[in-house]
Amino acid sequence: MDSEDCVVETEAASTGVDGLPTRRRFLTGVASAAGAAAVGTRGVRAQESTPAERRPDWGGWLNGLDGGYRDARGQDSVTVRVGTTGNGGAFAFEPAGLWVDPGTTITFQWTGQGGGHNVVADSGDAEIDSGDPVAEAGYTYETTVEAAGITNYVCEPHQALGMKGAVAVGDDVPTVAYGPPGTGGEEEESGGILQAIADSSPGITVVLLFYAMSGLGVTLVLGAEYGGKLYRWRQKVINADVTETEEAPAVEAEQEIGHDEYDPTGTAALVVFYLIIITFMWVFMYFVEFLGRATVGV
Amino acid sequence: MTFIDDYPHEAKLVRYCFAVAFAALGVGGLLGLVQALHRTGVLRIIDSSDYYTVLTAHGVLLALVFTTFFIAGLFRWAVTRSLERGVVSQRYSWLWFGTLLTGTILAAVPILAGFFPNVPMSADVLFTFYPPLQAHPVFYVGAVLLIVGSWLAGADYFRSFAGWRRENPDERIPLQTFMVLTTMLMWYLATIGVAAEVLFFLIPWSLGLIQTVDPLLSRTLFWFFGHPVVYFWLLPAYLVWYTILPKLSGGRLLSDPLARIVFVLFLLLSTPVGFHHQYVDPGIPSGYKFVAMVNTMFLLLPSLLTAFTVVASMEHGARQRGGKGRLNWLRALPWDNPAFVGCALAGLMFAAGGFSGMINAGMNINYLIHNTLWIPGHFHLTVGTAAALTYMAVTYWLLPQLTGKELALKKWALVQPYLWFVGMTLMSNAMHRGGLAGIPRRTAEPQYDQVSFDAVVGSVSEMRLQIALGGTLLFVSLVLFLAVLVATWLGPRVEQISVNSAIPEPLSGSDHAPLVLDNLRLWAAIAVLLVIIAYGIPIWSMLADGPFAPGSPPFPV
Amino acid sequence: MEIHRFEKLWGLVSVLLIVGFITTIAYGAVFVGVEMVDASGGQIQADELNQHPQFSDPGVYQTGPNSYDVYIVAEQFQFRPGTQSPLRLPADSEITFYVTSADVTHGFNVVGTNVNTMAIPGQIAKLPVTFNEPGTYGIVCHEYCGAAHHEMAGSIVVVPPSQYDGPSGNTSVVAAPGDLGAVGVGK
Repeated sequence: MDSEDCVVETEAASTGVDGLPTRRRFLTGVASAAGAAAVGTRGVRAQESTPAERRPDWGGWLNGLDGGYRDARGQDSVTVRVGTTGNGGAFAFEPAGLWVDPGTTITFQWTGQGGGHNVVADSGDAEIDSGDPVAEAGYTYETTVEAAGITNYVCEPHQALGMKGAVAVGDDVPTVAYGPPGTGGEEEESGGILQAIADSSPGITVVLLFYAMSGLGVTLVLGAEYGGKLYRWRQKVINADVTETEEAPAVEAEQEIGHDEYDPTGTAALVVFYLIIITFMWVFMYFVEFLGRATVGV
Repeated sequence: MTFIDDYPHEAKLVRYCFAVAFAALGVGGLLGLVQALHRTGVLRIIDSSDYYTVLTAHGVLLALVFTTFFIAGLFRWAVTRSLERGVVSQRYSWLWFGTLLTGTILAAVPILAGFFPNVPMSADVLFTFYPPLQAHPVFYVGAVLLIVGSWLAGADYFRSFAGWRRENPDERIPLQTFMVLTTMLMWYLATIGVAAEVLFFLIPWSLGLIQTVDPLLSRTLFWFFGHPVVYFWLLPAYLVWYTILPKLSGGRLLSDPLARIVFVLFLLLSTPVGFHHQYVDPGIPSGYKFVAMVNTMFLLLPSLLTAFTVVASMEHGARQRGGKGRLNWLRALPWDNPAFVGCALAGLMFAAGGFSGMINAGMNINYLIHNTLWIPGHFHLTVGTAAALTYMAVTYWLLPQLTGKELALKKWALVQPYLWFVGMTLMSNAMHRGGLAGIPRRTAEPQYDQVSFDAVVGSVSEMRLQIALGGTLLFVSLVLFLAVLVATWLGPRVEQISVNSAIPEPLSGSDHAPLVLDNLRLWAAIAVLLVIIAYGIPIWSMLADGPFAPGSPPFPV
Repeated sequence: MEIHRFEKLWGLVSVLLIVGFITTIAYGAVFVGVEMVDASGGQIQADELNQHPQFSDPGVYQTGPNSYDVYIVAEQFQFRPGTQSPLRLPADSEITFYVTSADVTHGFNVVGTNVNTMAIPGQIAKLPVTFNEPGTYGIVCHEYCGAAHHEMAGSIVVVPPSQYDGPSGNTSVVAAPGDLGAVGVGK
């Protein structure tokens, strides 16, 4: 259940420490985006005259995350469930996006799924801090939010998985129009595979292109060269009717060497050489690499 | 007449086993390439959370399916050939094949379902499936059937042997059959651990019949099996190196008795060593870890003896082919024979893999490399090359005998083992150095904000490049191998193949081997005793505080 | 049974090599003092960590003028403490790590050192160590523990003893060594 798949821009490829690209689900993206690529950049604008709903502008905090949205203004208290199914496991808040009036009491209620969770504010002024992670079903944490504005919060151990939420307090928060796909001033997923390739680093594109061209080239060359041969060979196979197969005769040794006249001197030299190498490597590994580091008990 | 004419049913059985094995190798190998490119950051086409689904499939398909099916086929060929007898019952042989195949499918379906979020089945638990991570129950059932199928296959070989023994009461067990039987005895003992873990704990737990399992006990039962399984993979390669490689080299095996001694040592020592995979586990007193270490270190002995015997047999062949000089005879070996090249390079690579294994075996130096990238560096040299490359190489020699067809695309077959060797050298050396820098294994994105890895030699980015490049070369080599297989399979029957299957007598024959070596019951009994000494008390104390305690509830993945 | 004399010699050399390896390990254990992780850390119920005197509030506890106990909980997907903010420890003092898991099996490896163990739910891993070199050491989870395993990391900052002003954020409980024993909570 995507909370914000209609709003805001295409998820950019994020990069890790080395600047190497990591990418979202390429394969399923291909399947769904193939349709989008065929259709083109923008969807059809809805023709209804109902005004688009406005929701808090989370600023990308909840992009692509599960959990949903609720507008709970006008209520004194509201419950947010912690550890609902989503984000690849039980790593979602439900609702992830919440809009309340100042003075509302939010009760965070643990589902018991997904291991230990907590709720800690990441940015913003609302007081949200449930302490150390808890895994029990039915555990609750209550807080009353007064400070106006948007507060982003996380579950610390599962932050990296996308267990994030946000609460907007009061009417005076930045908002953005929200509507069915194709309406409003938002960009659409466009281009599908081509978009994904364009987002990644140029080096990867070049490598992929190189592989594709080589593969094509090799296929063409081999096909041309062997096409004819293959046909004639298959004809020979189909027409073969051998029922018994002989083996090649044994190869005579140039010189027979018997048991008593054989001394494996070469082998002796090789194994001694091996022994010297592994003895040296063992001493190096043990006394330099191993004992050279902080060690348990020492 | 070749094998397919003398034993048509057995040839068919072996072909089917090889077909499943190499299909698994193909898929598993492709997934390995995806991993190599993903974790180095070179190319990421999947989500990092899906990496663990890929890794599970890679481990299960290669380390369990590819190996077991290949070995089952190879052993059936070896027993048939050396006893000159086929199977006792054709129906029974299809029963064990069917059981293995059913187990494979049942395990594979939940694993692959992990790629599809709408399918409520997954098994992202990796090949070690440590609880409290939990897979779908069908995965565990599949794993059990795979083990049971292998037990049934073993019984098939023992039945053939029993029939032969009735007619040959005084003869020595032919060497290849001896090797098969000792390996299977070791396997029966070894699989007790994982069978108990899965049957008594994991299946009921995944069905909700019991609430908790003890993670430490489960790990211990797994590694009871997890170490000897590598010898289950290695000993068939040793069978090839001892009995076939000398002939390919143009010579004879140096010593039959020594080969028997080596296999008996493996039967005795393969299992009571599992704690060396748990040196840094809490909850296990260090005395048992020390016992496991001593056993493990002595397990080096049969491998070091093998190195000598096999190389000496190759030298014999080279000299019979006219090779001279202290080391010049190496050039007289048949480097234009793909089966020879694969076996020889596999053996060479095993010497390196053996060294990193010596480090792993050291009880305290294990702290240096436990669960780092060094570990996959090590096992890609051993199971990934010594075993896998040997299996591929001996297939080049066996396939004409099993099909009555000539090996196709011979030039590609000759390039394939060299390419594998180069690719593995690049990938594995970088993995070893990466491990010394602290880079973890089993991790989709080993790039962290808070952690920097310092290389001992070289740099982390150069290591990543070597892993990606090496992995790519390995995949190309695999494609070449599969192409040779398919082309051969599609080719015509010929009247004469260019392979000769006769295996000459060893220089020092079985009549020189003490009779006691053939006393399989004695060795099996001693093996059981050693296991009780190594594992009896620790496992009993883990059970004594409650078989399910300290217990953990499931964490489904 | 005839064995070639070269091979007999090689067999002897191999046994000597093996004995040499075992001796090296024993030397490390007896003379250098390397200790293996064992059962002395005790056991614990993984879902009742908040009933344990130290694991309910994990962190650094001073136990003597120059010794500290550091309790760390490994859980999906962080080390507590260690991930949200770096652990601060003084160099040249006796640190004892106590590591356990709140959920599944994790790894605990202080990169660049030999402090390397498994965090197994139900078990407590006890690792005494001294850091002689100040600096920042990363902590990595190296055992697959779920979908975000690759996000699980932390760090330890080791400062020269003069710059260390005691454990902060935890009550400096002076506990006698061995206070823990086998804390089997609610079996």
